[in-house]
Amino acid sequence: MNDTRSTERAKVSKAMPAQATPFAAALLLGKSFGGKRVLSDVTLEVSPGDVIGVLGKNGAGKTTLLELLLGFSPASTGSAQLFGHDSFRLPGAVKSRVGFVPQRDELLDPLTARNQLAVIGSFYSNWDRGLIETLSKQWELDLDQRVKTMSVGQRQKLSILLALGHDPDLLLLDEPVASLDPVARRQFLEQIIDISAGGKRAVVFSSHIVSDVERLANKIWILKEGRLYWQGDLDTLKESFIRIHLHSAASLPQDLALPGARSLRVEANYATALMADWSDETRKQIEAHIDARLEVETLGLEEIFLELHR
Amino acid sequence: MMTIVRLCWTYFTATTWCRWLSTIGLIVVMGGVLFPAAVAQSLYLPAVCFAGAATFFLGSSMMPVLFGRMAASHQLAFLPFGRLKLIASALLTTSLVVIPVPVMGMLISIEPFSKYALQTKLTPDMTFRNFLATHFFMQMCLVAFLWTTWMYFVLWSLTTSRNALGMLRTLLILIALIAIPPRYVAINNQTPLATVAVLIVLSWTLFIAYFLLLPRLRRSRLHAIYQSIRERWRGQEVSSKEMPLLLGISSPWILALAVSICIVLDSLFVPLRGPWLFFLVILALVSGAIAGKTAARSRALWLRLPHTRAELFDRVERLLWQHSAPSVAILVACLVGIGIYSNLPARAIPVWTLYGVPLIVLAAGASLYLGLMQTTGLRVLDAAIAIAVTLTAMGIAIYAAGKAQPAVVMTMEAALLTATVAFRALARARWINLDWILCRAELGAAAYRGS
Repeated sequence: MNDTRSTERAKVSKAMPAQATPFAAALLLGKSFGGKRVLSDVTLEVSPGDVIGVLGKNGAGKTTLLELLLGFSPASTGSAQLFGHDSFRLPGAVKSRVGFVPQRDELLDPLTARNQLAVIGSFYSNWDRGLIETLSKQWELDLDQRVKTMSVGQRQKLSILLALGHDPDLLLLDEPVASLDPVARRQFLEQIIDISAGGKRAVVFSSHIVSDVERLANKIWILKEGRLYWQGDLDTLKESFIRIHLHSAASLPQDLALPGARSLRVEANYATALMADWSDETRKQIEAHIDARLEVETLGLEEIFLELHR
Repeated sequence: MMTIVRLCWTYFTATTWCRWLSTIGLIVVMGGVLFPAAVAQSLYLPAVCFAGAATFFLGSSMMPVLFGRMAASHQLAFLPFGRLKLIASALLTTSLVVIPVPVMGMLISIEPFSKYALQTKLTPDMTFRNFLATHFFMQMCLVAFLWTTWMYFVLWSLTTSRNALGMLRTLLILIALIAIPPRYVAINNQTPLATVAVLIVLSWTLFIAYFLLLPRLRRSRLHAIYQSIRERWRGQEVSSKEMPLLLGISSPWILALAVSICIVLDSLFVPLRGPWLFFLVILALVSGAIAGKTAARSRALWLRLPHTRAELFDRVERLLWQHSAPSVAILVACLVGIGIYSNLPARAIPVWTLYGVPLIVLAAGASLYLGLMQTTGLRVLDAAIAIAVTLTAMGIAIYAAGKAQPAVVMTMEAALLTATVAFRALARARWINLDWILCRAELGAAAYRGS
């Protein structure tokens, strides 16, 4: 399973150009509602080839961040840009390069899926009917079915089709797979991989399904209480956050000083700790100061996420 | 029982404004109950007391909204005795709002009567006191209950209207309330209590029947046929109306039809000339009200159109005028047509038209821009402005239909025009900073139904 994930991510990463103009950028971006701060000092960049997974607990600010990047809302502090333009004042040419799947679909119930696609397709000059037909067949979506008779998963598929039809350079998806069955989820993820494989496009998606993020994303944004708690490559994240186990012949002190330890549990001659910013240097420091056998355990993304929120 | 009390409590305390209004209303009402015995009578006292009762009513104004939402929710089907408890809570709330009116009315009436009797050395007429305590009390109780019930109906209809058909329903209820009671139900001292009681029972029976039967109605074959026809028709209009469709304003003729039906009904109940302009202005105000939903619905257009927010406003504004145009045209045609039909003197028709046509257009325009100003839900100040504009437009209509001074009418209309221009400027300024996180549409489906 892990091999598959690595291959999928490698496929995306390889295609990444070394230097490129950011598709999206935020500088000290913040948002408040009625004095309540929901997002603070977020600075980030999205470059071509990025597949970014946005993680965070409910209310962490994921949706707000995506909607600020898309210019749905003015920033309270800082700035957000898409393709070098202020998100709040996007020119038409920039908008046509963006696709968005909102958390709550905005479909028109009485229409058939085909009509819904026709309505939205009419806004774009480059609407790819072929792609829509292909994907709808692949995803077993009946385009002649009325939207209101569709299941939540089918509506989600249709929303995704609406975001893909104009072949956007930047695709932002707010919890896109929450309602999809495992088969559709896998197909969707494969589609995202195809989209980003050329290295010319970028995808930002938020999800609570950490395994999907781990499978697909090459970069991670972790939001915690409205702040961008961590951002960077997934591999770097996994290398940075590890769990160590110390086995000592003698009892270990309860106030064991470990540089970079985020949590520590000591039980007699055994101690375990979650380490942030792990490096060989840290390892050497620990080994020099503590007389114990040190084991390093790499963590999955889900475990890291849970540890970060403990 | 606890559920019913809890629901009532929620109705009165749903928002900060409700809490304040309910508290202020209650304090004034309590004062009104206690003060008549302590202070000298004046005309101001009943006015203050009844203002307290009205404030208490406004405090419960979220009841129809919450009731409507709960009634439409799937959850209600699974709550034990859900519908019954919900109806009971509505009845209890209405009763709580009503009770202060007869109590205060009676106390305020008894006190001066007693003082008068003492001063004039007359023996208080126990028959009259009994009349006050029984018939007068009961009549005020029942009449207040009936009017409060109807006011809740209007509020419920207004707050649940999302499209032209919903507006038609609201208009019909308003027409029924404005036109029918004064003509056919003269509620005054002479009205038998039984008549009022029957009206109350009838109103609630109709409401409860509608409420209980609605789920069955929705599952009925007739409704399925209606939906099928409606959807088939909708399906055919997709090709050329994408933007109005997403904004929920793709079918101006439904609104025009709604306005026409209201005019026909008005013509059955309302005598000509005077009230006509008044009614036409009300209809013009309503025709612009659909604009209130467009800011939220335009979210779907932001990433799909090459417009800035200002350009989007300009385009939406044009589309809204196109949407309102047929209904405004019908209103203007009716105004002129009715002037001719009612055999007004030849020279009176142009003058009347000169007053009426601008007033109808201005009323539609003012309500349209007031609607476009709604970019973060309904603010209290906006609601107050909307009420003021509505009353002003109605006032001008009543004044213009009488023996009006042309200069005064022109001045009033110029003031309304100035206000409309100001509303447009304010609406545009708000759209330029439109925040779609704060300005959320209800489900897209509802947006579509809005057309």
